[in-house]
Amino acid sequence: MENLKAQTTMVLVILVIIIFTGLAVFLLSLSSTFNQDEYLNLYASNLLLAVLRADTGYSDADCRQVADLVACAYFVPTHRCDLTGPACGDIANATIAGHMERFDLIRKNFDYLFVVEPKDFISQTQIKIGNPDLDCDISDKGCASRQRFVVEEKIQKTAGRSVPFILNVRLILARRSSASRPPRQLV
Amino acid sequence: MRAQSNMMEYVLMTFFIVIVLIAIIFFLTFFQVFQAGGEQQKALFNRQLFIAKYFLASPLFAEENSVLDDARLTALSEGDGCEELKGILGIDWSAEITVLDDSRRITCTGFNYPDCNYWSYCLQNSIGDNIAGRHSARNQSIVLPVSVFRPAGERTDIGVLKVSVYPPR
Repeated sequence: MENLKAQTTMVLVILVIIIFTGLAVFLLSLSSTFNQDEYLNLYASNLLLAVLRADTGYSDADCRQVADLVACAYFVPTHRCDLTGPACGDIANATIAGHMERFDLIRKNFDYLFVVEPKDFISQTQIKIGNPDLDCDISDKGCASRQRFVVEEKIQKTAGRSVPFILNVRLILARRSSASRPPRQLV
Repeated sequence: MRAQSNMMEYVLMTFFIVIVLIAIIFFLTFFQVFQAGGEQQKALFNRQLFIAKYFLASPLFAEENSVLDDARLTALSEGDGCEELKGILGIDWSAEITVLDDSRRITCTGFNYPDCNYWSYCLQNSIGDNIAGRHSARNQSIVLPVSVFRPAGERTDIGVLKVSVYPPR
């Protein structure tokens, strides 16, 4: 009888430990941490707007703001913003990269990609400034593993004989997966 | 002897169950404290976001959404601007706006406007106020990119809005 009592006691002890562990796991699973998605979406949206609205210092109407530079880089990339300077395509690349580097010092470890393409018009012509790997399909495993924040803005410009044209500018932000900086390129 | 042995078993088992119950109570208390800390962090973060959105949308600062007007920023950064803002947004917060123009930081006042690039509101770093000393290690901040419109030069520059919230005393 004493043996059975000892065994019963042991089973009771093990049962209590299992209940205790289960309770701990259940309560820990209920604890929630706040996520910063709303803030990061706001950050991305503000970043795109601030960069597009920024003045470049050029007085040429096609190069006054970064949005103008982007449109110039899309339609007439060889246009010069002043008589002797580089083409607007090169200036757009350098200006956007410069702004993004400043923000990289403030909010570290984010990769970015600016994609400029016509809205509502299927075209092979796109401008990409930043890490081109970010423009991937969500079904791609590597793409799905990184949380991306995508925001868009429209730029309306006239092309050719005063034909209005809407360009779609997309900014994709993603947490940097490695310490190495990605190559910045104008494609 | 056998009776005493049986009684000892029950005493030991009871003792053990009491130990387990005390352990469960400690664990639940720790969990509640942990949850409360997490809720406080969440509340502070939501408050920061609210203050940042207010700065971006209020006509007191912004010409249009997310475009701050440097004349309005300068006017409100002087005099009783902080007290007026505390009446709207509460206490224990601060905001800083910096134009990213690669030059050294110059605080905007009525005397040096528009040749300046920095505004601050309700920054708690005066000698007479010990709050910054006590809480500087624990205040949280968020930063957001903003546009700063400068009517004097008719240009729009890129800047940063930093909002900090200090935990309650």
